[in-house]
Amino acid sequence: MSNELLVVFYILATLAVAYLWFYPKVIGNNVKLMAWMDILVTGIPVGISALLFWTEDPAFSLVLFDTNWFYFTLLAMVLIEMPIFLLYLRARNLSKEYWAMFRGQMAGSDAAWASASAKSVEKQLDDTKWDGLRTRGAKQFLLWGSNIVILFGTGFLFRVGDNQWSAYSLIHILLIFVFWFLLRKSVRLIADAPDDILDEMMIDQRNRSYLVAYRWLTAVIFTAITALMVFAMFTDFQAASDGFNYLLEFTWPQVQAIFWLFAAYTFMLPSMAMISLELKKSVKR
Amino acid sequence: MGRKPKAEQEQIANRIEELRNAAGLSRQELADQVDVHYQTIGYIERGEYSPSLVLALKMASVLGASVEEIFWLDEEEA
Repeated sequence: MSNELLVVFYILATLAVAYLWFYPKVIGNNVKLMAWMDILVTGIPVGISALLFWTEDPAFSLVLFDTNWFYFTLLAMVLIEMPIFLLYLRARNLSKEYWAMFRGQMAGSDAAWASASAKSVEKQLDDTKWDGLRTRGAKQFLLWGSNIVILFGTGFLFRVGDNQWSAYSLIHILLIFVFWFLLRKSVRLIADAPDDILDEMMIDQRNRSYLVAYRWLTAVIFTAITALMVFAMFTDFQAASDGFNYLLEFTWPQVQAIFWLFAAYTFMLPSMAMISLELKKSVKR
Repeated sequence: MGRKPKAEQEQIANRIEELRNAAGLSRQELADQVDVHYQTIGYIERGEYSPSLVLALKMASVLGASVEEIFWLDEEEA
């Protein structure tokens, strides 16, 4: 089988799982979440192509010209997915809502940025099924657990070599999504909800959470860029350094580690901050 | 004279629960009339959240009392 056909095969397999199970059963009619998850779904064939073709880097034929594995996979994915995606939106009567979301986002609408839909937040506000996640002990577990999962996974993937342990990246990603899901349930999606659905106290709680989350994210980003600066300065003292060019080599697990460190904190920090504020409040009482 | 640290700022005390019971309203019913979630009423009653002036006026209107009769600065806790 040619490389081009192989790529098309696993794109079709990914789309079959996404459109026959994941979107209809897990995402439902939440168009915002669907748009976010589409990035992840697109990342799957690109990730497989990276695993298969990164080292050899063969040429892929695009009829009129040749390209590399990355652009071929991305372009093939867009071309194959687009008609399926449009048909899916039409079949579920979501076209209007989906495109309205992007129009709203371009106009800076608050609702478009919220990753939780009004309907799901309304449901969560009256939910008692997940009250086990809202006790003090459960909140402490979620706060510590999510940070341990992110930091341990990042450290592990940085140290792991080219062996079977590098597959831990899949477990790492799964754990991040599980904790993200649980954190959101614990705070009843308030941290990710649009203004329209929240009352003034909830908006106040959410806004304070974002302030704390922004400060924490600043710490994470500042640590990362400081590490880069330390690396540059350390390299300058090496005999082979010309003091201008730096060579940073990453393995695929290390790229995963960096990507998921920032992705996880970006998604999870608002809910983490909200839980942290609730825990502080319950200590004062 | 600077601003007091957050921890030392005055708490708002209230008699919402008393007036709500006198009016025969549940938290949910009061919440529906002033457009907030019923849990928010619980937070306000326990003094864990100080409502905005708009919400305080709405609550006063529903409970048939003036804002000053419902809310006051809890100096002892300050």
